[in-house]
Order: sequence, then C-alpha cells, then structure tokens
Amino acid sequence: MPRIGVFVCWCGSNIAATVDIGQVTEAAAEMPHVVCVEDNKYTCSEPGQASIRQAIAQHGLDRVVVAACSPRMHENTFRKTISAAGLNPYLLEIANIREQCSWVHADRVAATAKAIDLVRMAVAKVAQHSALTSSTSPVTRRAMVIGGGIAGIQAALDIADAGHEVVVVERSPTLGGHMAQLDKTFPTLDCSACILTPKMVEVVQHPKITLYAYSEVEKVDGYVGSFKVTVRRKARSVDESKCTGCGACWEKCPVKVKSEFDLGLGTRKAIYVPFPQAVPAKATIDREHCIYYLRGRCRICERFCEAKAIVFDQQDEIINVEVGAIVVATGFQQFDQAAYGEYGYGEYPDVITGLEFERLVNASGPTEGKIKRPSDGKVPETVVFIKCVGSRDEHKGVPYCSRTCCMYTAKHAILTREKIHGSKVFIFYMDVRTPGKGYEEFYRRASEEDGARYLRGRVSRVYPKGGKMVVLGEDTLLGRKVIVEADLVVLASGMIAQPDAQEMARKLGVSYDQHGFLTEAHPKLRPVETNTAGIFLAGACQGPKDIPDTVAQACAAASKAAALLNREALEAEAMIACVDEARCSGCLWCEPVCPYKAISAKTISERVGRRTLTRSVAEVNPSLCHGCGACTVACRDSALNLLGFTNQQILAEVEAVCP
Amino acid sequence: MSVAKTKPEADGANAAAEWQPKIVAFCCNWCSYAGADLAGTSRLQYPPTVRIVRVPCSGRVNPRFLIRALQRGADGVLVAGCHPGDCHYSTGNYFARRRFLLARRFIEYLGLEPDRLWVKWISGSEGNKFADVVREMSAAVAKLGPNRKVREAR
Amino acid sequence: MSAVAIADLSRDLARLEESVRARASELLESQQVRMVIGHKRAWNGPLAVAHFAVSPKEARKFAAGPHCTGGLAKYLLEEREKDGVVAVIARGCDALGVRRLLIDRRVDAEKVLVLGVPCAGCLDPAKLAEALGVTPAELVEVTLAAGALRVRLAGQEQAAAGPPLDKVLPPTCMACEVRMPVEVAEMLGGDLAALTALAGRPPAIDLETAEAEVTRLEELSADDRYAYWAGHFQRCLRCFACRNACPACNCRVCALDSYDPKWLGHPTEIPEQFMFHFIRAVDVAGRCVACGECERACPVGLPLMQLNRKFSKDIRTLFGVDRPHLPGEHEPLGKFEPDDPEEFM
Repeated sequence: MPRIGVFVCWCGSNIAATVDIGQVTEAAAEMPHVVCVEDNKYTCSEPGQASIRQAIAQHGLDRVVVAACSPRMHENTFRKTISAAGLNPYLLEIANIREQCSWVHADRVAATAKAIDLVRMAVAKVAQHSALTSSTSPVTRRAMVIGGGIAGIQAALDIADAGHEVVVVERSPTLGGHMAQLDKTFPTLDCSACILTPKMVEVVQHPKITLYAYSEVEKVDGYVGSFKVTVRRKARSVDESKCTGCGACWEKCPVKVKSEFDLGLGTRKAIYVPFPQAVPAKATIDREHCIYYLRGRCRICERFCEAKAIVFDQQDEIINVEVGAIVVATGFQQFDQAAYGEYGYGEYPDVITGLEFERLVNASGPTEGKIKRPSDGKVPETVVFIKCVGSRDEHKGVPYCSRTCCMYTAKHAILTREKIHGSKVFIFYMDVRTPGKGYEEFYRRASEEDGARYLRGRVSRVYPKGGKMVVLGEDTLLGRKVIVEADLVVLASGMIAQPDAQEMARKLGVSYDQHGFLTEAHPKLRPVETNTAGIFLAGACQGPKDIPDTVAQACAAASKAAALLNREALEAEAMIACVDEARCSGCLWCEPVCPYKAISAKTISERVGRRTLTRSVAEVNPSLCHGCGACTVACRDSALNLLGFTNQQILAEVEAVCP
Repeated sequence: MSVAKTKPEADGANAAAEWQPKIVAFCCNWCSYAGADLAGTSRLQYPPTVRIVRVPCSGRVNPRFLIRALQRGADGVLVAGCHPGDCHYSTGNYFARRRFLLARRFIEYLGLEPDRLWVKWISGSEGNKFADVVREMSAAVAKLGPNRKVREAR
Repeated sequence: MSAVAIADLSRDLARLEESVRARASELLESQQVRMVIGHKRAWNGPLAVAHFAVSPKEARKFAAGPHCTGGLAKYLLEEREKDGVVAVIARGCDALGVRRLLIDRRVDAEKVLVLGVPCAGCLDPAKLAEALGVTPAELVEVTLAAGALRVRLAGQEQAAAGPPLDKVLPPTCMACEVRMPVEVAEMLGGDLAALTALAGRPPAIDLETAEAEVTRLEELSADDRYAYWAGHFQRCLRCFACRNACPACNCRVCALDSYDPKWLGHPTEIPEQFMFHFIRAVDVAGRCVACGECERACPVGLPLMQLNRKFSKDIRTLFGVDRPHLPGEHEPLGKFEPDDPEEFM
C-alpha cells in the first residue's frame, strides 16, 4: 500500500491569504493512502525541504505530494528533495494551488474547495506513480554548424577551440555570408572584410574544422548526442582538391553573368569565385549559364586550367555525417521591396536598397568604391535614405523592427558625406533607435558632425523627373510637406527569414515563428537553445540582429554545444512511452503519429503451449522518445503507456475531480 | 465544503442559483498549462470551476478521458493545447485536432450537448486567453446546466 | 432485377458453388493451402454458417448464395499462429476485412490466399420475415432457384415463392461498392455472366441514401437523440458480439476487456453503455470496412452501423477522405493536414 505524505505550502500569504490551509490539511488527512500531512510557511525553503526529508524518514513515506506553486516552478526542486531522502525523484506530484488557485480566485470558500480538489487529484495520481529511471546514450563528440556567415564562422571557431571537431556546411560556394558584402561596419567604421576574412581563413586552416562549401543539409535523423545528417555536396564541376584558385579559368571564360554577390550591380563569369577573398578559393561552374552545359561546346576553362581541375561530369555527392550537436546559423534575407510600388524599386535603377549601397561604396565592389548611381554612373549630389522599408509596417511589411537599419543608414550617411564632398543627405525616419554601445554617439555624429538631415516622416512617393528622383515626403515635426530632388534613393530594407527557413526547421524538427524565424526555447532564459535538444541557434536565423549581437549569440551557442559535447553520456527522458509487449498487437498505428520516429517494429519470441512463436510488437527507442504521448492515444489496446502520465494516472486524476 | 456538494442534486432554488459547473481541463504542459500559470502570475480572476489535469501534450488526451470525466460528474471538459504549428512536439496538437473534431461531433450525435467539450489553443503567453476561455466556458456550461446524461448515479 | 435475370443468377450461383468447391479441393489436394474458409449450409435455419475445410472431401460442402451471410475474415485471427496458408472464399466485404487485418499487421500476407467471389448480396432474414409476415425464427430454408427466391417456413413441407432478393437485402449490401471484390489473389466465377453483370452494377443506393438515417438523427433535438441512443443502449447485452464479428476490432487485448487501465466499468447502466459504444465506435473510426458485421451479429438489433456511418460521414466532410476503407485511401486518423478545419477551436 502506498504511504503518501502531503505538504501544503502557505507561500507566505500568497496561498494562505486565499486558501484555508487548515481545511486543506484536514481534508488531505482523510484522503486514501495519506499517512502524514504537514503545512509550511515556505515549503521550498531549506527548513521546508528539511521537513519533507524528515517526514519521509519518520513516517516511511514512499510518495510525496507538495501543494504549492506551479510544478513548472519547483517540481525539480522537490524531486531533488525527496531524492536526497532516498526516494525515487519521480514519486512526487505537485498540486498547483498558487498560480491555478489562490492567485486567480478571491472567494476563500471556493478557493479552498478547489485547493482540496487539486490535492485530491495529486494524491490519486501519485498513488499510481512508479519509480522511473532514465537510460543513457553516448555522445558523438562532433558538432555541425549549418551556415557559413559570421554567426556560423564564430560558432565553428569557438567549438573547435574548445577541442571538438566541427563540420561547417555552407550552401554558397564560399564562407562569408552577408557580412562579406558589407563595406564598413558601425559604429567603429572598420572595414567588414578586414575583420571577417581572417576568420574565414582561420576556419579552413583550423585542424578541427571540416568545411563543406557549396553543400546543403538534406536530412537530419537521430537525436541529441547522436544526429545523423545527410549532406549533399553539390557538383562544382571543379575538383576542389586540385583547384588552386589561380583565376585563369574565370579570366578566359567568355560568359558574363550578373553577380549575386554584387546584387546584380556587377558581373561575374560562368566559372567563378563569388568575390576575390572567397574561402575556399575554389572555382565553381554555374551550370545554368555555362555554354558547355547549355550547348555542348566551349570548354575554354578546361584548356587553361593548369591544375586539370575541371570535371564537367562531376556529380552531386551525398555524405553522411554523425554529430552530437548542431548549431543553426542560416541567416536572413533582405525584405522584398516589391510591396512598396510607390518607391519604384526595380522600376527606377536609382532607387536601391541599403545592401546594394554597401556594394556601391565598397572598394572591391562594381564601382571600386566610388558611389555612382546605377542609371548613368553619375556621382550623386543629393542622396535620400528612407528608413523602415518593410520593417514596422503591418500592412505591407513585417510588424517587427529589423534592428540594424537605423545604424546602417547613419553609417551610409557618414560614408556618403565622406566620399562625396558637398553632397546633401536626407534621411526620412519614423524613429531613430540606437540601443547599443557607441550607437547613439554614432548617430549623433551622422546628424550633427556629418550634417545628415534627419526628417521625421514617411515618404509617400518617389518618381523620376528630368534625370532626378523626386521624393515626396513629410516632416511631421514641422508639419509640412517635403519635396527632395535626389540623385539616388536608398531604401533601408528590413531583414526577413530565409525563404526556406521553414523547410530547414522541419528537417531539424525545431519550431519557427509566424515570420519564419527559428524559435528559441525560452526568449529570456534559453535564448540560443531550441526545443529540440542538441540544436542551437546563432545569428539572424533566430531574428534580426546586427554583427555584435550575432557574434555574441554565436559564442553562446558554441558554448552550449561545447558543454554538451564535453559530456561522456546523456541521460534520456525518464517520462517516456513504454510498450506492454503482452498486450501489443503489433499493428504499429503508433508509428505514424510519433514525431521523433522513436517507434519501430521488433520481433519477439514467446512460448505458446509447447511451441515457440514469433510475432511483431512496437518498440520505443528511449533516446528518441520525448514523452509527448501521442502514441498512447493511437494505441487502441493501451499497450503503449506514457510513464509519468499513464492512462491509469490520468483516469485517477479525472476520477478524483468529482469524488 | 467541496464544490461538488453545492450541486443542485437537492432541488432548492438557492442551491440552483449557487450551482457552478465543474470543468476538467486537460492542459498541455508547454503552452496551455504555462498560460494558466501566467493567468495566475498576472492575478487574473476567473471562476473557480476548472480543475486542470496536466498532460505533456494535447496529443496525449484520449477521447475516452472525456467520457470518463462526464461519467464521474464533470459538467464540461476543456482540452487546451499549443496553437497549430507551435506544438512543443511539432505535431501532437494536429492529431488532437482531428480526434476532437470527430469526438465533439460524435458526442453531439449521441445526444450530449456539444458545448460540454471545448478545445482551445492557448499559448504560454496567453494568460488572458486562458482566463477568458474559463470564463466563457463556465458561462456556456452553466447555461447547459448540470450534466446528467451520462453521469453515474452515485 | 427481372425474373429472367434471377433465373440466370440462380444458375450462376449454382455454378459458383461448384467452382468454389472445385478450387478449394484442388488447393487442399495439392496442399497449397492448409485450410479453406467459406460457408456451408446450416443444419438448422436458413442461413449458412462458416465452414473450415481441411480436406478435399470437406471442400464439397462449400455453399454460395444469398444465404451465406456471416463475415469470414475475422476467423483468420484464430489461425494466425499456425503454420501454412489459409484460403478465404471472399466476397467484397470479406476481402476488405482481410485487408484490414493485413494493414493492422494481424495476419501475415504470406499465410493468406484470398479467393474472391462476385456477390449478389446477402439476405437480411428480418426483412425477409417481415415481407412474408412471419418471424425470422419461422424461416427454415431460403434458396434462389427456378427463377425466384424460394422460402420454406416452419411446418411447411414445400418451399414457396418469396420476394425478390433485392427487396430483402440489408442496407450495407444495398450500399455495397465491392460486390466485385478488390485486392484478391484470384477470382472464382468471373466467367458467370449474369452474376458478374449484377455484381458489377453500381450500388443500389447512393451514399446520401445510405446515410439518410444518420442525417435524420442529426436533425433531431439533442434530447431526442439522447433518448434514441439511450433506448438502444439500454437493450445492449454487453455480449461483445459486435466486437467479435468486426474485422477492425482485432486487438490482442481489447480495451473493453482491460482491467488495468479499466476503461469500461461493470455496471450496465447508461453511462457505462455510452462508454462502451463510444470506445467501440471511436476505435473503428476511419478503419471500418462497412461490412455491417457488427449490426448483423448484434442479437438485440442495435443500429451500430449508424455510429460507424456517422464517423465515415464526418471524416469525409472534415478531412476529405471519401472511403477510408477502400484501397488507395489513407487512414484518416493516422495523419493530419496542417490546415484541417478548426471549427470550435
């Protein structure tokens, strides 16, 4: 027979003010199997916990009910308490009489009656509890980083420096991501390439890091400590081991294609590296544009390649990588300006995005760092910047703030004023947000020292007139219309999730928000973990972020991953599904409802009369099962049960509601 | 002392006026139970009609629990889970949705009042919604009166 | 169905009986199968009973015709642990029943041989008795011969002409879409022109008509519906014949029998009867093959198919799964669509 102890907490006056503790303890004493009832001012305090331990010893308790705050608050605390007294930690049940009773009801009589019901339910459930233990599984001491932008680079380097192997998978031909496209970085104005490219090189040179560039994650199986990732290494048509990146091929290649890296403002060849400092410095043939793939002849690159690295019939290669942890650093993309037809982006060449401006102002960009407007190459005298294009606009864009635009627009203003003497800069803004170290000072420098004119108001239209772009706006502080005849208009585009972010999330089994950004396990306390154990987030895949925040988050994700990989073995969930093989019909209706592919068929032998028969039953992999219990409902014959939330326990609770 | 005893098994008009329904709520641990906790930490007041059974996921809730609760004297059953797409276990609430879409129509077909079963998606940040749902459901079930149809005479 | 067709049909059924016997003998003789399950004429009463032939001699007893009513698939469960192949003489509903057991992995595909037979429908003795103004117990022998359904009643020496077969079919047969069985290893009687022509016709009633009773009940007031079901459930004997006959109720340990967890209590008052029929209907929802065995087996005539049809109707309207019991469709409760209806949620 179970021997249950009930410990009712006052929580100071939090519970005791609304619930009559005396009545609760009296009622609890009458409940089946209850041999000891105590109340305590603060059960979670050390004296409170000590009284539980003492009562366990004194009354020979084998199960404990704590009627206190939410189990989400102190279930672990009290599990440790009873464990210290020699009980299995799972022989505990919490009756939530604070968050779900004393704090939400004012009527003392009704609240007390409800608290008694809640205690009765907990007592009924705990009587059905059994001791649970968790199994352990080994850890593959290798991490995968998906994405080779600054977030992925930083995370990979940190994990590798902690002594673990890292596999970096980047889908473009080079590391670098968006940061490689930037010119200077706020608020220090140091050159993006100068601080990024050494890190890119460090990645390929690090003995612990393997880089798979031009590769994509196809499939992720397994679970924390033991993921099995299928990676597709796309055919570059170039043997990476032979290519020296000398450049002979792309010099001779006759096909010019708009450069993705330069956002279409410049060109590249059909065989190319995206930019001169690309890492790895290996050429890639763009099969969509290469004449040989289109028409079956040319092969000039092959003729000029001294290393004999061109392999026209190269095939995609599928490789399987086993890792213990995964850092997702898949980044963002720019907001699509098509929603803002009134600004004429895409229609007028002299309306560009902030990222395009970065390429124009960059010394290695298509204009070699001279700001020239795309239509006629003229150096603009008047430049208008429009902020919050896409961001903070529920109707046409996204409701959130993209967090980088205020600062990069200030930077663009400073760079314009520096590079084009006598130029005029107008910035239309809704608010200026500068929450970062040195950010407010940087904005002030743009507006006060560098003379950028900040105009608070929105722009209603941009249209061409006599070689100029007319910007119709409004200065809401002065309450008047503003018309600027500009040479160049720059839209501060917001950041949105990668178009395939949801697909990636599904492959990984992590959740994403309504905007497609991957969701952290807790917005404050678990900011880089996901709800899937062993998968961590870094950078803008989780939400808009600037470089300092991205790097900080990457370091955090790396430390989480490294801490995981430092462990010898992982303890699995204790509250998982289990199969009663004697009952199991082997129909496997449970299999399709399991989100973790934790259920499979296994063959068992059993003696029936004088014969040994084999039959098939369901089997739960304890390392894969997360304990959701969906399978238990699919199981008609109740052969599957969820430990900690068994059918018997839930029925007991339900039955205790109405005694 | 217990709410159950104030039920109008005895007929008097006073007892009927005081009668409040009893609702068993199956709340998933990750969203709806957290939402109920948030209602608590926000000190939102709602009727003391609901008794929460914590389950890991709405996908854990067997429709048989619904009948058992009604058998044993519950006047209504609430199944609350994460919003579609937000399930902590990815898909549990989608299966729950199919199961309870059918279950509600089925109990209605058997002659029970469909409004005795509510299914709501309540996230961990929707303390307000939790309180609102309890208020609305309590009112709706109160309007139906005590469940007598499949309740065991005890 | 014209009288001429009936004449041809009865000749075809006699031939079908012959080919069933011949094929069964052959399979048993050559030891390709260990047992053949079919129907044989009963020694008492008009309806055939299941027959388990293990020798060519026993195969001579197989019968075919509208009096062969009971389902045969479920008997495979009894044989699952033995070695050797078992053949089933399968009408469309039997073949779907076998398919149900195969999908539920309750029988081994390699140990089953499904011999399909075209079906003209199986008579409903209650309907027949009603048509003749007698009680079912008075029916002694029913044959389809010499151009008409012929019935011999208790106390009569000679059989007399009865109503046409299609007037005495149960609703499941009238709505049947598989009178030519699907998913069979081989077809017997495929050369019988009148029978196959009849079996190849579309169902006698459409889906809407088949679900007319469900729709009628849906339109009643809640209290009237409750009264209807409570009235029926009150008569339930808890004999579990519905479960035992159902090919979808094939669990090793039935939830209805389980002591721990105890889903179903002993009392046979209304609340527990609701639980019983709720569990049964929910568990076969989306898996029911619409064979009507539950209703046929029920000794007190509970309208159990009205529960099953309610689910198939709702599954169709809610999830767009038309005929979950037919091949090519997916099991509607083992999956979901992210944009499933929300309704009251």
